[in-house]
Amino acid sequence: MTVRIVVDFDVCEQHGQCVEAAPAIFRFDDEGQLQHPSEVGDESAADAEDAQFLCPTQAIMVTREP
Amino acid sequence: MTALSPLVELDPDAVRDPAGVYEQLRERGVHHAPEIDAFVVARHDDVVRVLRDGRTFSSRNTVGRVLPPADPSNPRPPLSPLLLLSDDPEHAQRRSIVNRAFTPSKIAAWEPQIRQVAEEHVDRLGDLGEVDLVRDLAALLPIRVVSLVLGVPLRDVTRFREWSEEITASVGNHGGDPVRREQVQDAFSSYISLLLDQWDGTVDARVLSQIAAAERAGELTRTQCVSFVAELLVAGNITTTHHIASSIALLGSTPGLLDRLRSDPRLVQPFVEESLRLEAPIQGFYRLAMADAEIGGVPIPEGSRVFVLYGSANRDPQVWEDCPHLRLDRPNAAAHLAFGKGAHACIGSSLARLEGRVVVEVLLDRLETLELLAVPADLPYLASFVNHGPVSLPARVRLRGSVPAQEVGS
Ligand code: HEM
Repeated sequence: MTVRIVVDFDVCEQHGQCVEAAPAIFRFDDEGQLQHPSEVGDESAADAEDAQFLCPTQAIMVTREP
Repeated sequence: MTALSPLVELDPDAVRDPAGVYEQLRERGVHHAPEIDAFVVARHDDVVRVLRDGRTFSSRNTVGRVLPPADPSNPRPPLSPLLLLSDDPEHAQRRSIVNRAFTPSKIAAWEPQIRQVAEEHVDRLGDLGEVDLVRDLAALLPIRVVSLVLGVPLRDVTRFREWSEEITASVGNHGGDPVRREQVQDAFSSYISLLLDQWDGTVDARVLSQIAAAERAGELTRTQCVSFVAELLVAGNITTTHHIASSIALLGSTPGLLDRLRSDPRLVQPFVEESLRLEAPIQGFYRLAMADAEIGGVPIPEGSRVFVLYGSANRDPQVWEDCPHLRLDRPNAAAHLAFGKGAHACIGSSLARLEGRVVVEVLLDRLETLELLAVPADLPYLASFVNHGPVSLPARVRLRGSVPAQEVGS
């Protein structure tokens, strides 16, 4: 299974809840820009989904693909 | 007479199946409906725009009216929700605290216990012969599950359910008996207070332990803790009951569906999403325009009420191919708006999804046959254009490995 992550940057307001919830996936770079891989493995699915849930603007879309 | 009239007048056929009304509303675009004195927003993209713009569209009137301001001379003001009717910055601040208790991974840990509760209730149906799957199942599970997840001791669940019903009723009914309301509220508040006082200091998956920790950390007051628990009961019970009831109605009335789900259990989650999309337990809520605005090209003057229809967005053919039909192969299955969108999106969505899936799995596993005793067009629905779900589902069920009731002793 792969887990796809898409962030809608028109909606993201850089609250950083995802960085707190899943630091292995989401981080702010030196310019303060949110960075994340577009795909993560199985083992990170739960963290990615927590980040999706916690995002105050619901800017993160996580889909599990078999 | 406008397109919305049949719903506002609670025409039973429109309430049961509002799809035709919604189609007209989407075609017409955003417009003012005098019956509810609100601008009706029915297209998916417009609904998302409003829900994402909490600065312009305030949540203070989400349930259709603005609560009167708290009376400082009243030592026991009515409980008001912590999240649903608040705007930023209070909303964001409160939500970031209570959110932690409801993350998908924390909720997932409850699955085995939720399954056990669901099995208990479904197994009990076997002894009843003819059942009402709302009264005997869909109405019972949500309060049991929410008690479990909160950490309310099992011995108190009956009392807790009674309070929950009375508090929910008093929220919709501003008149009511104020003395009774105060009594119930006092009893409920003392009970939640007692549980918070008895907290042993360990934080685990129980929501009350996390609220107690937030209180200890000075993030929530005692009144806020109690208000939040009351809000969970009001927001989470009837909605989940309706979701379970609608899912059972679909299971019992869609030819071949039971067999398909049995042959491929991975389809149960997509089924739950389709049930939420097609039969959204909350069809719509209100917002209040805080400034002159524009939705879908239509000017919305400051101070206007706006009625946002999740249920119509979920049937917008711009987003959903073959939208009237239940399909288990949608690539965008979870993109429906049954849980809303944006800052106020349902905090209980992981719990409701888990509960919905587990109930269906247990029914598939335990039931030999599920026979609804009324065709869908005859089912009675709650008389509301906000809450949506059947109030009764007469059925005959036979559990696997059991003898049909009429054959016993013959
Ligand atoms: C299938 C069942 C459910 C449905 C369809 C549902 C639907 C919704 C919707 C549409 C909203 C958004 C309101 C808005 O846009 O202003 C909402 C908010 C909320 N829901 Fe649910 N809900 C369900 C179950 C639950 C459960 C199980 C709980 C708690 C245990 C819960 C607690 C809440 C709370 C506290 C809010 C307010 C969130 C906020 O304003 O930040 N809901 N729900």
